[in-house]
Amino acid sequence: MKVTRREFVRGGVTAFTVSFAAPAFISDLARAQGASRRSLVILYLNGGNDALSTLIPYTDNFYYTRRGVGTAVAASSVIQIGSDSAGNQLGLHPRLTGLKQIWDAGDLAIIQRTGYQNSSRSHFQGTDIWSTANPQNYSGTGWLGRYLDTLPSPVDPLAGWATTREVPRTLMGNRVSVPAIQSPATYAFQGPNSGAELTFSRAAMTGLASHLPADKPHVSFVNGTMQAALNTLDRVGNVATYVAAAAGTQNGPSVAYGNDGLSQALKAVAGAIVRGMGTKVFWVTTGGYDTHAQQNANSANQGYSNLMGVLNNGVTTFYNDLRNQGLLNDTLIVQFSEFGRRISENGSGGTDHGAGGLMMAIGGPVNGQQLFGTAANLQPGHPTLENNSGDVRFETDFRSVYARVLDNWLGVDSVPILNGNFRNPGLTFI
Amino acid sequence: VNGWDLGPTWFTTGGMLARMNFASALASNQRFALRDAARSSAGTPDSLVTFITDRLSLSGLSSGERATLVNYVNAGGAWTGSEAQVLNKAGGLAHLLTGSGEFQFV
Repeated sequence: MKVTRREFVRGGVTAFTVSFAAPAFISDLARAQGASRRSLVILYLNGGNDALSTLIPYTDNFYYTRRGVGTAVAASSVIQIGSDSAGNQLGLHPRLTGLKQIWDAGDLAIIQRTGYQNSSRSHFQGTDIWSTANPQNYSGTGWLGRYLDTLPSPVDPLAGWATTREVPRTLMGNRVSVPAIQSPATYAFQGPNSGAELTFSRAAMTGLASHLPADKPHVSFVNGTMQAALNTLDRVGNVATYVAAAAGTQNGPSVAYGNDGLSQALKAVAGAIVRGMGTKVFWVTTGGYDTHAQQNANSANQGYSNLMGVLNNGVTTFYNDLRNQGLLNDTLIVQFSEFGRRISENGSGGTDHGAGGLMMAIGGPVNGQQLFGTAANLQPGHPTLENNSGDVRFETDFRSVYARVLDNWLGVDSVPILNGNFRNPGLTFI
Repeated sequence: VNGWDLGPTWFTTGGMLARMNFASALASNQRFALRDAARSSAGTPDSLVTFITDRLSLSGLSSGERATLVNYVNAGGAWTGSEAQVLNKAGGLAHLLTGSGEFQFV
């Protein structure tokens, strides 16, 4: 929705109160299981994850002839998880021991060769495409922003929560705004004074925000936003106490989180879920996946191996925390990256921007311990490859995964949100 | 001005908090200067509010908003106009006013 300054001033709040029409289609499954309590956690691996080092085709000889020891994970070290429907033997990176436990528990599904036609090699364009779910026009709103726009008014200011410094395009909608709350502890009201004086300031600011003059709709709009911000502070503060509490204590996490950024972000997400914030969509980013040089896929604690260690520890801790608190069945984690990486190693011991990647779905509701799709055959000339056999060709349109999440988890009709029918009946990970 | 591509999402709860806290930083930085400037106008809570609102060109406050500000100055004890009170309240008022909804349109 585009709003002119004139409309904004004249119409004020009412100009933005778009009436909500319930979608014609709501998944019976989602409705039956109570979509309102559910949360979705999007985990973005920033930089273009080398999917061939996450899920290793360790019986494909071309994997080892096209890559050197720095980028090919040794067959002897992979964590074997069986084979896909085409009979390709596959294994997880050796640092993903916790994910193997989640796999064994039936709560992890992997969708192979996800992507889209003519995959972009640009981080920015690729991320925008995955965010908007539109490879042709990727400058608009995000697919989850459009989902949030379908929620009935008034929408809770914490319906979405970005744990990053900036709100990602994925969460940008036309009507609903999402706060970027990187740290619950620092998302607080500040004043020039402290102690009791700060309390007086907060009370006065709340008082000022309560004025909603009918003859100044623009001020009413801003004051309404201010009220929401001030109301949100106490709720986020409630999450902050969870984050600050020691593991194992009554008011804290059930397990100890790591100090890395991913673990801390997931700890905040867990706090929001445990404290019942009602947030429907969380956004979490972990970076470092642009591994052009010194990928070190086999080292004990360097390069890609370290990335896998951070991912494993963060996700496993989060999973265990929610499981221990009986909230795992209300939580779905979906992991993606903007593209996969090239098959062959480059001259710097790394891999360059590629095409098809992989996605993971993790959580209690997942139909797990399943490999969806088929692995690429890395022999040059094979039809599962593209760009002169330099890249993995996508098999599953990433929007099919989004469609499944929207229809079967968030309980809304995916077609208008994704501007098309991308449903794939075989994609039964949830 | 042709509007904002993202509609009302240009103004978010997080953005509003950032504006309020930016106002706090400005007021904190000018705390002592505000006290010195306001000292001669701090005879009563009402006169202090008038001084700060005039300085910030916020002439359109409603009687209710003004009462909120006067109550803020009175909070914490009877007004004597002491150095400590003027220091706290002049800075506090500057923060409240520059972080207010009205000020976003000045």
